[in-house]
Amino acid sequence: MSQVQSNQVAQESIHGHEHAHDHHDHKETFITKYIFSQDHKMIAKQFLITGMFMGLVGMMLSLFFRLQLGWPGQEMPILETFLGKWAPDGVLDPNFYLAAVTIHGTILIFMVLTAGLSGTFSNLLIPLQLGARDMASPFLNMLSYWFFFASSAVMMVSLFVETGPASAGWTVYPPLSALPEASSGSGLGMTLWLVSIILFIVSVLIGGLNYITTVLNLRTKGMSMTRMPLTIWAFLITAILGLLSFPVLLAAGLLLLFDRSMGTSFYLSDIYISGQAMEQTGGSPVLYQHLFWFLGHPEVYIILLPSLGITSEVLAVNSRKPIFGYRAMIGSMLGIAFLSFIVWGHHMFVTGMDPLLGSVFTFTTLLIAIPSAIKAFNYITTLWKGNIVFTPGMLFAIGVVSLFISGGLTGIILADSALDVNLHHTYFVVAHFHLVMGVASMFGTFAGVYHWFPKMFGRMMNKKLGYIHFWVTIISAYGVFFPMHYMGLAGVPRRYYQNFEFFDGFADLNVVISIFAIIGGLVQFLFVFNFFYSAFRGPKAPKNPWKSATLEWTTPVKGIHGNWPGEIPAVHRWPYDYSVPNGEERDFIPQDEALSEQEKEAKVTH
Amino acid sequence: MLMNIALIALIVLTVLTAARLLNVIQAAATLRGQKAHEVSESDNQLNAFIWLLYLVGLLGMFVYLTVKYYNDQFVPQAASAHGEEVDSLLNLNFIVISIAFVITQVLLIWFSWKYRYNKTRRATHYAHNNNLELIWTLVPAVVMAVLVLKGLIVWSHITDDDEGAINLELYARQFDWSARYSGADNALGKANYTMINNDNILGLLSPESIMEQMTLLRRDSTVTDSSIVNGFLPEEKLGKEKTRLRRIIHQIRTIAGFRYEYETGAESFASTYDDVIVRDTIYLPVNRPIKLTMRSQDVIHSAYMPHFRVHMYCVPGTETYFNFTPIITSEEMKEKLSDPDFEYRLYCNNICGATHFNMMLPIRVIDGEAYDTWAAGKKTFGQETTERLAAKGWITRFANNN
Repeated sequence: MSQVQSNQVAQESIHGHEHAHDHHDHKETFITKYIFSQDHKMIAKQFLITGMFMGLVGMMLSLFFRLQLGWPGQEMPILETFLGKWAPDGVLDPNFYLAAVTIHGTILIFMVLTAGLSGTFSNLLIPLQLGARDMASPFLNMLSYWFFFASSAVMMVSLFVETGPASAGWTVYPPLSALPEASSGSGLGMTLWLVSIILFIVSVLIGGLNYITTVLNLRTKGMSMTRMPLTIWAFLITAILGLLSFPVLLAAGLLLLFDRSMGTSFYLSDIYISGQAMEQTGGSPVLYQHLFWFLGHPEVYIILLPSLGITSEVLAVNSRKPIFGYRAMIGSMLGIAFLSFIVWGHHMFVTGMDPLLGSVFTFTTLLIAIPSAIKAFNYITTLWKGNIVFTPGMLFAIGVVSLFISGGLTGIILADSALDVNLHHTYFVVAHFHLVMGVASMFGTFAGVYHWFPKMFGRMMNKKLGYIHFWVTIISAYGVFFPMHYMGLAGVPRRYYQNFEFFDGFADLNVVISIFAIIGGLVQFLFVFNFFYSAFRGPKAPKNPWKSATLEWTTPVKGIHGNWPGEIPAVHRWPYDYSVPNGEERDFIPQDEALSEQEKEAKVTH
Repeated sequence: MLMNIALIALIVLTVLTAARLLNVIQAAATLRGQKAHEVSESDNQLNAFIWLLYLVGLLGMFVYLTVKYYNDQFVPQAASAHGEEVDSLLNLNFIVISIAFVITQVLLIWFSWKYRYNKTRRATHYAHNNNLELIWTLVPAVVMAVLVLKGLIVWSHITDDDEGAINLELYARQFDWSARYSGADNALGKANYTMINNDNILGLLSPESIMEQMTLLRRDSTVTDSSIVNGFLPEEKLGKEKTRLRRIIHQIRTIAGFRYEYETGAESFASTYDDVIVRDTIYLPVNRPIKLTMRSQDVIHSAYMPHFRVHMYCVPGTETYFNFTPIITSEEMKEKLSDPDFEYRLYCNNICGATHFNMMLPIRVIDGEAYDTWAAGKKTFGQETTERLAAKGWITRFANNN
């Protein structure tokens, strides 16, 4: 209790400071308001819009290689228009094919689904849902965005270098990524890739520290940890995962940089290339993979958990029901987070790792199925006997659950070392992780954008366009990735420039996949249009458009610096008091509403 | 150029028109009294109905694709001893996840449809139920326990060493494969990457190949050294030549070590003599266990043979292993699939550079006798080296070269 009170004191002092601020300099310049802003709401928008831009770039790259895979070798002038020398006569160059695959993965995983998702919604929601004036350190928060921006800029620059961008796959396994002789993309393009990722890690670490500190220290009066919305729990756990795993990637990246430029041999050993035997011996390329996947696997959950957190919130609000099994949801997220650190080896069953280790990693990986199942069933039960309002955000949230199940289940097969042998690096893997991590998280992001758009811009997005966007996207997503499972079962390897000399049975399926990819890609422009149109011209939003119980909807429609004009509201109940059978007509009770006499008597203590 | 400008103009116009149109539509909706944040009755009904179509479509696609593609025509038939075991494990897993998939998707979508918004109803405040949650913790846990156990049993069979297996090496480099048979002694002779040259791609060590490589490197070092000393090289080229010289010196030092071992009698390097290198088609005997040893010359490759359910990275600087036993000959498979052109294949399945997708080698499984005859007819590494050195007119006796 004293903890909570001291937090309140801290909040008040910030509050007091804000008042002083109001009196002295009210004039914010364009630069302090829109560019070097320290307001968490503006930083959230910056993350979102940068993420959207990068998302479109990543999507375009995927369309380029889908054109090649659907119609291999066919001349398509549009490719030459976009890519110039990388698509002579309209046929994609094999080097650029690999580069497109690599940069598509990198951008989507890091720039879009880590920064674009976590960066946006942690920033927007942590202070608003916890009742804080701003992040613990607004300045670091600003730095976090600008490091991310720099990282994205460097990644974009790498697309335009003479020798091409990095092209060793998003995992950039050395020695391929370490030796410019082995691949043209491993020259300057790879150096820029590493620089970009290092900047990115700095951004994630600064941001994560800030999120954790804010959640732990700046909760309003009455907001105990078990009264936090599940979104906040998800962001908190995500930030902790990032803080523990990204430094390992930094180490891996630095060692790779040393191997590339200083002649060290961390990852290089006994290599003969371009007619010369290199001096490096004693290093291990597999070491890199251990380090990489020590980040790589938690990274999956860094991407997925925020999306699941958003889903919990949106599902509960629009089912007009409390989330089912609040504590079990927290517990399963913690369980997944813990397990995510001891399963990295399942990416490496066929690297020559000791078979005994393979057994251990199979065991730990399959354990993840248990908390995941709990989450899925709890989501389903949340819908049961609800009163479901199909806002666009709600459609995307249900979509997340559907995709999470479809994609997650195939993980049971891939986690099994005996089965992974034949499926490793096939389209089965591509299908699995795109559904469960890629599309599911993307849908979580969309759910968040549609749901909290009124909070970001004070206006409503167009619902009808949202519906079209949702249905076309989910059908395309399944149309693209579901068939890939079967290609994988037939043993078609991923990252092949063309597959069909030996796997000609899938030529027509590949055309179908590419058509779905193109449709799904184009419909995203509808979203972009809806987003920007509504930000400027959309109808004005009411204060609490979705009749939600959480604190962010108690702030003024037009967001202000410091979030609440007067005192910060205190919290008296958990965030999911929907449809409480209390005889009232209203079907939700805001978190900041004091307990009624009736409730006090019943000693409801959530 | 004109085309591009026209295209951009078209896009801009489309966006502007769409914005205008949306403006009008929204204004009209406001006039009718619709609120932008409220979902209308008809929208709820429509979306709930599409969810039902979605469920039918999803399950329909699942059944259609499974029937069409998860069968012997598309899935490579298991042609190794452990392959069948793997397949039955896969089928078990497939059935389990299919059941879970159907149950959960049906519940999810059915609830979404059934409990669509109704003004007159109130949702049931139902926050938790420990028994229910216990059930869906324990059921997956038990199922997982069974799957883990079964999986680990198969895994231990796959990774077990087979007694008396034939030693065979797969050697990868950008962008082709070589296979090395261990010959009569069933032992793969030693190799080192510093020994690699155009005629000795695998870098095998034998007294003759050591002598040959030493001679070649000495010549190379002299050429490189003089190009550096002469000083006519541009800056960039000079740096490269210096690196090259440094590397050659490192090579010579390493090989001098091998020569020393040979001269002192510590190592005979004779085990490579009977090794046979094959670069076009791999022949394997049916029903004899094979122990694959994998190496790589440059970057990580991966030896992937889908029919044999074999997959293992080839990692530069280290060796990796995989045991398997082919059980169906190529001829039998041709008959089974009624495909006269059928070949088993070895693919590279780890991204390794521009033409990664083309790195492939056919494999033929033949019966034991035919294999023995085939193997007996191949030229060994020892013979190849001796013949080459003789053709060059180089002294073939190692010791005389000192």
